[in-house]
Amino acid sequence: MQTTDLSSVSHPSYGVADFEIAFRDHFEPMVRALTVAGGNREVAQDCVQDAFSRAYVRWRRISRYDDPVGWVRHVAINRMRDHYRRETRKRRATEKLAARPEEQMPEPATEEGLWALVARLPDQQRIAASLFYVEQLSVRETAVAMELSEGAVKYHLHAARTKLRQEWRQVP
Amino acid sequence: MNDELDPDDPSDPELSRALGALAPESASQDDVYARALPGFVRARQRHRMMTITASVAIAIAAVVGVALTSGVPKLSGVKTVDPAGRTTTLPNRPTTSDTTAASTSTTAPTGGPGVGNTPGAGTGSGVNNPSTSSTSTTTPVSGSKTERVTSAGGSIVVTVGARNVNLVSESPAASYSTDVRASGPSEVEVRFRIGSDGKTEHRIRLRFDSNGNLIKEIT
Repeated sequence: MQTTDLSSVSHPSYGVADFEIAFRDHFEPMVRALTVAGGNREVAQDCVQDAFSRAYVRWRRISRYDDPVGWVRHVAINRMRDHYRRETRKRRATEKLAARPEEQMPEPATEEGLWALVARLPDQQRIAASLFYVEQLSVRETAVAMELSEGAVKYHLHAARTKLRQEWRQVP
Repeated sequence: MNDELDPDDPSDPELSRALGALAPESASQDDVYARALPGFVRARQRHRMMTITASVAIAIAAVVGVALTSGVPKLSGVKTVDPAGRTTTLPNRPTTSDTTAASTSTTAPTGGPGVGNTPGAGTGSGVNNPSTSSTSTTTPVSGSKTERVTSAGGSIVVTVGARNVNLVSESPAASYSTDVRASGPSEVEVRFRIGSDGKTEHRIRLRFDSNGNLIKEIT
């Protein structure tokens, strides 16, 4: 799979002592994007904070990367994916063990409006749309964060945008 | 409407505003870093501890691995059987000059003479005749080694180093008694006597000459 080369992306450089600046500049936008991608601000905040925590431990090395914040974003996305994967497994196990199906956990899609539309998007489309439309990343930065090619990101964005545009206006 | 969307240009300000409104900015951003910082510091401390622990474990594993692959030296020693029939195993201690800490294990064959340096009740072996011969040899010394020197009256084990010689043990022949005159480090002299008057004796004497050569005198 072709992915975007990180070295070809220009990023603000951070020194060893600039962890706090990087945190203040990017924590909240990342949390907002992952909140839309995952549907839960608490989970998004935990994932981004954990990613920054990992970066803090290794900041001397990570600050020398071409895109240190891209590394943090990538870790946060993976953390969020892991979290929801675990949740899905738990839910399935609960469903198997549950004697009464009416005790199932509520699906995120039961939420209303645009939330429900976003929640119904496939993972890749949802994450791409969140990074591009909420965190305002470029296609190239989104590709780096998702380890995809720019063409793949454009495809996911187009598909997500098409679905959202189709149904959004119909939502009361 | 969908036909109007350009796949190569995904920018859509309206959609961007709508999606952004789903996750409004948090009002209290200023103290987020201050609240998160202690957690970061703890994470770094944990990481350092894990790194140190892993390094130590790897070092220990490496040392153990090297020790296992190179082979642990066996407890080898000088096994001697003296004329009285006793078996004595002496550990090789090539670098030490301490003669008091030498450990020995002695087993006596069934029906043999008693254990010890005093004459036992065993049968003699023709060494009661006094010897009138005397030998003297000179040996250049390099490094430290354990050596056994034998005379008609018994044998001794010594460690020989550079200009030092130390008595490790002495084993008299049957019916002989031992008289240690010098046990090192400049000289070792042991006399083995037999007879009620103790006049018949054999002597082993080890010393260094001025050139550092070991001189063995056996009479």
